[in-house]
Amino acid sequence: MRSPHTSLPSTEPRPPGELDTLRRIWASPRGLAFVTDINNNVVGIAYVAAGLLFFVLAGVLALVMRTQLAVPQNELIGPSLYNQLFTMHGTVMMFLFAVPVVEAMGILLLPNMLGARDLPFPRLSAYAFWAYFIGGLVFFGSIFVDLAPRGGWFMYPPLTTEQYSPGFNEDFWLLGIGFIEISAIAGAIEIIVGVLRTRAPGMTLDRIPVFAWAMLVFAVMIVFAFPAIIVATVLLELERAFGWPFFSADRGGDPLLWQHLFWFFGHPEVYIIFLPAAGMVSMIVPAMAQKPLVGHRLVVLALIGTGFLSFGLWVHHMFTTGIPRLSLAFFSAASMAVSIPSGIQVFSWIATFAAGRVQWKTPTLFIIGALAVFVIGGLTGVMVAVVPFDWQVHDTYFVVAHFHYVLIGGMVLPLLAALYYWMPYVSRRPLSERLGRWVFGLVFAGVNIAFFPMHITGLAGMPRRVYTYPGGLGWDLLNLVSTAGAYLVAAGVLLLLVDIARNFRFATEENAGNVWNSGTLEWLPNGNYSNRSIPVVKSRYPLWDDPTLAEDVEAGRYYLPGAPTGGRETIVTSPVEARPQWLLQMPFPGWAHFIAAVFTAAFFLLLTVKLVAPALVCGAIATAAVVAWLWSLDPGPSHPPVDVGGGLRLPVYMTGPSSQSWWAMIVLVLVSASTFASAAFSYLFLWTVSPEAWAEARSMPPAAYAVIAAAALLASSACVAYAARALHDNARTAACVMLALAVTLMIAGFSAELAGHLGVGVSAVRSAYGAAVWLVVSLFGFFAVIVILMASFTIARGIAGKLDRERRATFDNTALFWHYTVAQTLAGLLLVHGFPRLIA
Amino acid sequence: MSTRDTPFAAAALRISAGIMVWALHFAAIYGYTGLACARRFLDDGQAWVAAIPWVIGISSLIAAAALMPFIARLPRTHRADGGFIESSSAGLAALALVAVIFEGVTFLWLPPCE
Repeated sequence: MRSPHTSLPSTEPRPPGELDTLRRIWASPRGLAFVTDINNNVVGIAYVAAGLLFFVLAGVLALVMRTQLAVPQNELIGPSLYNQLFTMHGTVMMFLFAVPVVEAMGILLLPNMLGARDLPFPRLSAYAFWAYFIGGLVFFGSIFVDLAPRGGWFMYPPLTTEQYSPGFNEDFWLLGIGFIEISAIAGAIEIIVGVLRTRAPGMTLDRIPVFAWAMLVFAVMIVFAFPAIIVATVLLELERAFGWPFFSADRGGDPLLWQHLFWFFGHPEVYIIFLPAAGMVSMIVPAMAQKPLVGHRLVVLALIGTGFLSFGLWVHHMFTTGIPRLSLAFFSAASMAVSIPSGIQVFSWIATFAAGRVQWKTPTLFIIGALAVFVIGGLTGVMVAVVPFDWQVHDTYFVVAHFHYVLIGGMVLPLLAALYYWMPYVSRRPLSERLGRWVFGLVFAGVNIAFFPMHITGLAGMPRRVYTYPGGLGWDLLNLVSTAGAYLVAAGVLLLLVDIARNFRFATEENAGNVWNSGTLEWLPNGNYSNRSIPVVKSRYPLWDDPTLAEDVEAGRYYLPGAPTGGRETIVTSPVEARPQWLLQMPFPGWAHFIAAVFTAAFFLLLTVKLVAPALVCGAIATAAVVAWLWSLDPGPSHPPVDVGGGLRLPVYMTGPSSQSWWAMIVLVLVSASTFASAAFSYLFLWTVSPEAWAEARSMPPAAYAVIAAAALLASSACVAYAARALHDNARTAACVMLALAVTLMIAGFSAELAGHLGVGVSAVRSAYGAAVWLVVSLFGFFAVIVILMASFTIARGIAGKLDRERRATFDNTALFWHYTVAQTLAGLLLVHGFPRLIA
Repeated sequence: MSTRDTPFAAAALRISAGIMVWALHFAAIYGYTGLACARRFLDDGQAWVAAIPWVIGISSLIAAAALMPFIARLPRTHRADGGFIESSSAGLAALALVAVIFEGVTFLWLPPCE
């Protein structure tokens, strides 16, 4: 043991009761108040459990389908239920299992892995979880009342338009997953700001654990990919509910618009799922091989490169839609290019195993199995990236085999490895090694028995999404074997649940500990408060490079060994070099996030069944809960700078670009920009396919309306800028008056735009032109409402005395979003008013 | 070692510059090809179509040229992060170059708009 600890930040002996205070501050509520908890350990475990629940439920749906397909001409279930089953299986697996469960792993692991007490917006994580869990359960329940969607997880129109799919079923998909999109974006904001701003001192970009890098790339991808599906679902719902013809060819719409928007989300979605799982593998492999990851930097590059390139692949799901071959070739080439970073990761894992002394435990088995399965899926992926081959196998079981190999090898098996690997981190006991080997054997064998024959079934011509098939076509035995394989997988999953029931006992302080001799920070002794003290990181595997680190951290010899402000707090560090900058005071458990989540889910689900008035009431309650939640934030400089150890005194409040909320707003701006880009793309795409619909633009509003709207918007921005100056001079009343004036100008601007289009009678239902125009105008209105609410909230804080030159984080966020909204809306005005004049 | 923090925006832009060049190139060639093919039935549409190979070829050359400085720049290992930003930038630019070349040569074999 190192004798004197004088080189470490905090001196000994530590004050008596310091650890008890930390435990008390971070203690979880008991009983029913469990729902008010926001600690990442509790929310993370609940989140993972919910994800696994949906995995099991979607798996049961798959078993029913496989039972139906076991023999030809089976009468077990009819076509309508079968359609619901495959739609729900895909939707639940993708939206309720795959994305949430990797987000959940991030929420559970990242704080400890990064050396933070918690992620910067713990209430946001808790909100995301409850909205997803409650909404997800109700959504899943739709299958029991024959209301589940039937259009496939990709919901292609025109099949899913009101004309061909009347009733609420498809609406459940369109609105029902709205809350999941919100939940995913909320989680992404949390993860981006968490990884960039709450790392332990010294954890530079080069020392960030690969899983954290993967989660960062994952979250950034959500920011850019999810808005496309949000816009797509809004467009389809607008067409179904109000007849706006975005996808109806007879009025200038085009079903291909849906496919572009859907797959702009849908292909990155595959990597959104794969990259975190790859990040988990890159953490597990070094631990099981007892060797640092070979090619660490290359793996990080591969994660970033894959994230970017995956946005250039969407059309490879549309090779049979009649797009010119040259255009298809761009996507085919990008599909080839993306195999390079994927290959880098696979070779890195193999090389690390080859270089180390492998512990042949259950996580290792799952990783080896994942490698084999994923490589097969990757190879068939390169095959279907070849356009002529894809034309042959499109919509056959070959594609079903391909994507199951990719998703199971790329995500499910790594997740099972992660469950076995990280279980000792959250449980008193690890999972059983003996049962784990059985689970692996059953799942691995079952997956290959179920899905490998499907390659042949597909090549033999069996189409996807058929509820039964005639005998004697060479498909009978193959289908029977696939069904047997599916039951083997189910047996493996059942055994996993038995293992979890027998051995999982939730614990933080008394967990089983570092049973794998891993080298990263999450294996430090921890509690609800994460680590007793926050270490200084000097390498990628700090526990391997400093054998006394765990003892020093546990003895409180590093930073922040106590709670100097008397509340929950964590150190905010600079995003590149991870230098300590300030101390973030964090919230305590409360009801606001839970109420907001329940009523957000209720809002969307009631809207689905057209109960508009109750939905609006729920929306109002959710908004009120969010306002109550936000009201308690922005405490101002209520505490003088505090010593966090080693004489390092940190401020406890920050505004502007250094604050965590500013970073969250920047991410929200990116989400908004991506949303607007998708809407603008929709407008321009419809023009390219239906220029005749733009003939209607001859009767567009006079330019004066757009000029008045633009002038009002610019003036409103000037008012907000003036309010910022006034606040800087501590003229609070003047600031509030200017904000109120900005609100008035925003309303005036929107009114001018509205009056212009109403005046000339632009109809949203007559043609795609009108629908596209009203889409952009609606976006203007939506953002106007948001910034008006934000400004009103800020004014209310001013009136309540919670706003001044120091305490101004709320104002700064409002101003930032206001200016962005004005810029976006000006671009929208240019599109709607300028573009038709340009092409005329 | 410098005690000044590297601005995050500068670091992020530097790391992702190569891939952003790829994204711009991709958007340009796909966007132009899509637009030209969609509007080929207009009076002057055929001229747009005839220009497709030129647009792809020239934009690919420009993109490749833009990537070269990032690839050529060696990491500065004396930095606190051990040259992570520079080497990441160079690596991603190299990957972007491969993608640009893959996509840029397609016009040599395939006719536009068919």
